[in-house]
Amino acid sequence: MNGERRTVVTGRGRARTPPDAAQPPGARPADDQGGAPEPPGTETQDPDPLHTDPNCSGECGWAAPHGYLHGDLHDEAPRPDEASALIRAQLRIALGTLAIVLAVVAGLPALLALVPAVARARLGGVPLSWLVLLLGVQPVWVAVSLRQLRRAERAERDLTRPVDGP
Amino acid sequence: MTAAAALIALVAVLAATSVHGARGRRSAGTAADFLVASRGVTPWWNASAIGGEYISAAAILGSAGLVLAYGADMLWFPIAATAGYVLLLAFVTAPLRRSGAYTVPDFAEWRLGSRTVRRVVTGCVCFVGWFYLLPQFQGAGVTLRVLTGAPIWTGWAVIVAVALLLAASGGMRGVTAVQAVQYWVKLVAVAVPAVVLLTVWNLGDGPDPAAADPPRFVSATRVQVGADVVVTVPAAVTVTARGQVDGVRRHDATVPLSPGRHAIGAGTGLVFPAGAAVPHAEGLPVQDGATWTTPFGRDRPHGLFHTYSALLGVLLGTMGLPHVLMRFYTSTSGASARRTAAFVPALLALFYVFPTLYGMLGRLYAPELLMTGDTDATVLTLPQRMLPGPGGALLTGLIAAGAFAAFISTSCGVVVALAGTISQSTRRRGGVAAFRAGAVLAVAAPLAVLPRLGSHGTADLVTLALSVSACSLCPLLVLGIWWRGLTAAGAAAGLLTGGGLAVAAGLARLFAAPWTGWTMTVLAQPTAVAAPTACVVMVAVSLLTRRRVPRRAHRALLRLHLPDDRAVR
Repeated sequence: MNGERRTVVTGRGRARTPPDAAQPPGARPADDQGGAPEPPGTETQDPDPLHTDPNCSGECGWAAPHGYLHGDLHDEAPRPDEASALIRAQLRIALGTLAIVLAVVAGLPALLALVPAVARARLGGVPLSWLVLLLGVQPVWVAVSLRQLRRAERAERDLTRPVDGP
Repeated sequence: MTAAAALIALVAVLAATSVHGARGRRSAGTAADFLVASRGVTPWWNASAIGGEYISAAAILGSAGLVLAYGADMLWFPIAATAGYVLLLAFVTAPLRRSGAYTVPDFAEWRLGSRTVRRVVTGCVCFVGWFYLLPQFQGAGVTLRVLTGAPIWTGWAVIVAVALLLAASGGMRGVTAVQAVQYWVKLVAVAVPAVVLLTVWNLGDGPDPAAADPPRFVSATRVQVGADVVVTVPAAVTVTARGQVDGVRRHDATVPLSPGRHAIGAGTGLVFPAGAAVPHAEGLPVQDGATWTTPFGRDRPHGLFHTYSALLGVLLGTMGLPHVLMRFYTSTSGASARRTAAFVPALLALFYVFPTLYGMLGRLYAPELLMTGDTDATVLTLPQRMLPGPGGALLTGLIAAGAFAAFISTSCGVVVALAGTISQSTRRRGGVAAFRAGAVLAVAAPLAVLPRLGSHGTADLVTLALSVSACSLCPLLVLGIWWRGLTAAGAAAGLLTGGGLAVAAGLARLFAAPWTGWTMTVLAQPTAVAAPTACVVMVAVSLLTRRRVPRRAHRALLRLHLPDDRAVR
């Protein structure tokens, strides 16, 4: 799969140099694609001297997909169909969130513009619309974002479980 | 006393900032350190930093001013801003972080493998950043002018100098610490005075903003006009004038003002009797209390389109802000970036209650701002109006500290993001020298435009930046992350169309002749037209060139969406 590095459709289609061996892994993941060749020696400093990035402790960047296709990651990598299913699931979750957001953002102005009685309603002397717009909607966003977070994380855990099981 | 309080606040914020900046400077060693602070920032810390960076001059000063001037119709912006972070969480953060690219152009080049797209994206990022810096500088100028009487360029100079120093010396590490602390500084600085003033209003049986007629001066009030202004006088009134009124120079003479338009020269002082109706600067609507408190209450042309387009601009624009996106690269993994994004709406929700309260109180206690047009000064003026004396000065100092924290943090964030983007696209990628040159370039463009800008509210200028981002970077990110069929040609065409339309609309509105009717509405809020156009162009051209879909698009998508410990090891 080393040929992968040269399958990039580049603007000029010129030959790409593989990542400089002296370059620390994970320094410029983008470069591993050959999309952005680094003149050797321009970045010899360790960008992550304290190794604060747990993902970059060993190999990083595109080394991993190579690894999993060679099967040397102990079957940890999901099968292609599982991976596609995960992407579809995540998209479904995100679209669900989008639907809620759009319903509120499109519905509230329409309601207030088209039904003046609602816009003029008062609750204990305070305009109802101010209460809703100022205090009512923001908590909805907090709840929706926590829901999105929980669902997205669960989708990822569900992907992990059947592989780790046996 | 106000000036002294403001100066003390400014010095305190500068000192705190430089201490944090110095701490960052010691640990920042390499170019990569400068850019992403070695990616060792926890979700809460990073979420605070994002909150600190996002809550800008526009959020504090601008939205209060908008509420003062326009009322209930302006309550939508905070809603859309927070909702933007929800969408950012749902569609962008985790995948973008997993791509491992430092900046949006890096992402575009990695995903589509094209240097041309990279250049186009870099252009879009620059425009978004430049438009975003304008209101920060403008707001800083207004703040210092209102509080100390200094000429408007003093504020510009202070903010530019601090942003450049911080960005060029500490890079992002310094900025992360500064930003996170500043979110909490801003929250306290805005919340405490708001609670105090609200209590004063409540205990003093203050007037009801909803019941009032068009705003009136509570007591005899002297109004000093800072810049030439044309005002609409709602009811006949006799004032004492010193300066230029309707082209005639007056020296403490009584001048009857008939209902209608009058030109007041810069530096003129007018004394209004108690109970007089407040004249409104040209362009600001004269509204009674009921109209002001009712959403869509005044008969604005194309009101619903205007609201939807503005909402869409803020909503989608928030997804593409380069300085916010860059923050997520400092998270340790995609999952951590997602947690970071999930905390942000809570922080914003907490903050956004307060500016509206200032706007409401401003209509009661500082209505002359409607006449001078300096509605951005609402938050700064109120404490002195409601609590003359040391208490008011103390609160003013607190608010000034929050405002300066806002200018500094947002300006720094944008300058770092722009400098990173610009330096990465130079021939010899990165490097501290290129980063510093990028920082200078980032502030030079808005500084050149500022003197010619005239009077535009800060919130107005921020929506402009957001609309550019909504029409260019947002479609690129969403389609690039979720649709494998995106091609380099499609992305470039969409970016040029959407970004071009939004930038053209913004420039036409800022610098060309006044517009009317639908032209004005669309130029003011182009997003509802330009963003869908950009998406359609991006998809259509991608489909036309579908044989040039990058062959590794599928693998790129896997990398973006598989959990970090599975795909990236």
